[in-house]
Amino acid sequence: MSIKQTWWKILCVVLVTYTIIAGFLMPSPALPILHESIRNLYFHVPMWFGMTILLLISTIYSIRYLSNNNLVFDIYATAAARIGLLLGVLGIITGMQWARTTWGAWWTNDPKLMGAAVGLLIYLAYFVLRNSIDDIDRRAKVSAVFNIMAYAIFIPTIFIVPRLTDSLHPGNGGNPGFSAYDLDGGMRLVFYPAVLGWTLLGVWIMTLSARIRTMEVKLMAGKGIFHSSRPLSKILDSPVS
Amino acid sequence: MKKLLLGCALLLLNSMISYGQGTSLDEQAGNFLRESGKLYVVITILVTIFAGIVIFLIFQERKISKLEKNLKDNEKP
Repeated sequence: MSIKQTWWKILCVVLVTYTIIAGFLMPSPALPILHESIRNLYFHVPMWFGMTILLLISTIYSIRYLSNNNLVFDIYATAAARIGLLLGVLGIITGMQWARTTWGAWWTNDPKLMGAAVGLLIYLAYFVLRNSIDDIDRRAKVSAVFNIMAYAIFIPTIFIVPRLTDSLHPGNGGNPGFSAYDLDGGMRLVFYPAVLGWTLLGVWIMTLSARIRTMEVKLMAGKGIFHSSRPLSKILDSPVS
Repeated sequence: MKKLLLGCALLLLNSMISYGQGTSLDEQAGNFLRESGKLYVVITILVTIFAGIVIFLIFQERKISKLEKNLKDNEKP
């Protein structure tokens, strides 16, 4: 491993460690109801930012797959969607824990929460669809098209629709986002590094997942398990940038 | 009379103290750190957990790199 390839992983570790330490030690603004739980901003919110960025990466890989039919792009698109979904599930669980102490209920049928749940279900459907197709090329093509559409639906459901109606969630339906509070508290000093750090951690896990899957497909292709019209060794050898 | 006055004063003081404590909790929320709250322990534990996860990821990374190299060597001949 050269420094050229590992610098962002080191940056990721430094940023997340900084987030954990500074996230607890930095002064937090004194807010009613929220109190110290405002520090969740450094842990709950980056999950969703990370999910959105990873799903964007997934969509870009899907577009690239459709433009040149390279199966490696399909593998990377799936890995990014998988880790994005993982971050989303973590985001919804941490959100529920936070809601229990501030709103008084684990779950409310709030537009923001429903939007997030629908967004997660869309990506669950992506994996169900993928795994129901045996032919490796067709699976890649169909799921790439679904993935691009899923992102086009995911963004409005999670970011636009909740802003159009009433919502408890900060930043929606007339509620101020945390930007209204963290101007004085210096919370941005921790929040932005937190978003970058957690996202990089997601990308790191994504590359590991994709590399395992690439090897798996190569080995399986050798045994002729997958149905494919083209020789896999040729398709898979091109490097991914 | 004196006792009554003293009692009233104590009551007032009492309510002032409790009122002061009620607000000081909120003020403390903005403080640097409540040393007596042992928050450092939580930070240490979280950093340890994260370090464990990172070490696991590094080991995975090295193993995957090795497997990739093996696979490439196997393909060549």
